[in-house]
Amino acid sequence: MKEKTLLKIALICSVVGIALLYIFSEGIEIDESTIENINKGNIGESVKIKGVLSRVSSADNAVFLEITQPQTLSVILFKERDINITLEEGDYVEIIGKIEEYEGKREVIADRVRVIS
Amino acid sequence: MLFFELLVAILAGCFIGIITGLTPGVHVNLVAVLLVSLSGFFLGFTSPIVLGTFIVALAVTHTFLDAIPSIFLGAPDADMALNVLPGHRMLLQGMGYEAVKLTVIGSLMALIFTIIFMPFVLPFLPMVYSFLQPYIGYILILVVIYMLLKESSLNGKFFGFVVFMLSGILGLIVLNWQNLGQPLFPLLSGIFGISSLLLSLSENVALPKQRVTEIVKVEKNKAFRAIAGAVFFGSLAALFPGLGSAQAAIIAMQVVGEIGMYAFIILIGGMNTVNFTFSLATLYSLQKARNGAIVAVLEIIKSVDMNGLLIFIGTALLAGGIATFLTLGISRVFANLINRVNYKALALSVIAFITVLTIYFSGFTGLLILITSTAVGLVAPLAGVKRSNAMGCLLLPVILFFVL
Repeated sequence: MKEKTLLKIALICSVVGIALLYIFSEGIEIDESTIENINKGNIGESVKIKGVLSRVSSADNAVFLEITQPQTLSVILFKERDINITLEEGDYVEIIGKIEEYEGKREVIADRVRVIS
Repeated sequence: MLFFELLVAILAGCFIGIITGLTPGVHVNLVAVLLVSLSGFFLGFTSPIVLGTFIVALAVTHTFLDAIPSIFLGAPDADMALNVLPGHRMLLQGMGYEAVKLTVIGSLMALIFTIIFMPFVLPFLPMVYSFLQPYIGYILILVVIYMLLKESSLNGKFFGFVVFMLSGILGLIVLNWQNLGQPLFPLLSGIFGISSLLLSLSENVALPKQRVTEIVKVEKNKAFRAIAGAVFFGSLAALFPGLGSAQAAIIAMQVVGEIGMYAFIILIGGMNTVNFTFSLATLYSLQKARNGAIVAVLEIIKSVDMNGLLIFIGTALLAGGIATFLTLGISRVFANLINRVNYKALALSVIAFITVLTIYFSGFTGLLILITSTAVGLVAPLAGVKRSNAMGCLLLPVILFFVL
């Protein structure tokens, strides 16, 4: 195989790769939601919400948060991996996680918490 | 936007892949483990899938670039061990660049065909896995017997067996050594790297001028068999834990028949790229990791859905495309640089470099292993039998892992 042919194939390969990334990254991006819009039908779905932390308490294996929008929602962040962020009440945060139901109340099991300001 | 985050992660992965691919002894797993330990920090501003694509791009790039130290320096990693000999032979004929190009053809074409065939085999993976799993050890035993029987004379068969057992026992000792960092590095560098360099030095080999030409031609039929072998057996290696590219290459060598040196280099080049790419399919289908890099991906993203798999496939294609340009470009630089050095000085420097790295990674225990494995590596060529028999160092431990 000539080098030119090989490079052409590599170029096509890269373009197809970029196209796949563009198409399927859209599917993975989670649209921002509000606490008001979260209902029983959303259980098990991924969600992205922004709001102010109104409660932060820490246990051995998890951090318990309450996010206010002004409606409030409980968020649990498990310490499965080192969490290097410091969360304080009053922080404006973005939370990405899965909606679950616990004792009849909806809560979010967070995959990621990011302090915006 | 996630798309741009992914692109940045892939470019970063390709960049680190150049470093791990070109540096003997620095494995993808090392960076992947480091990233897992730092993931808490990175996840503060990016998402798990972005970190996953970084690792996939890094691992794919590594499988292209690792041909360069294996061919130009005779310092292979586990996946490229079998390529040292034909690759080095081509280097001694002034065709080091062409040898690297053949591995790139293998890697890129096998990557593309693996991805094309993936949707057809994905639904059957759990079934194939549970059907074949109990027999893998016995299949490997049959392959070893067939490999030894292929030695031409009775004397050859005997010495082939001696080389297999010597290297196998050495492999068992080294791989079970407690608290030994990077055990494969001194083991494989000794058997396949330093022993070849010592033989070349004893024969007063002079390195001819390296040329960057297009004169190497591989018959289509042989190239097809090499790529098909890489796709099939590389995928098989990705399905079973413990079965690596090198062991799968030994099986493939017996099955694809006589394909010649050039197509053999294509086969080995493709094998480890397929092994990694197909492990993305096993990750999705069985939710199980089959190599260190995939363990790290799973650790970070927890589970992979179809969308995630397609993003990883896109990543593999893009990284494979970039790695093709990188490998050919860097190989040209190596070919030009190597023209300016004396072969004897180069071989001695590589031996010194491997020795220093061994002491750094594995201490003086590693040095002992390096000396022993070099001695074992010399037995096959001096006894006039195939050096692939020395793959017993990886095959015997895997056979015992599956059979016992």
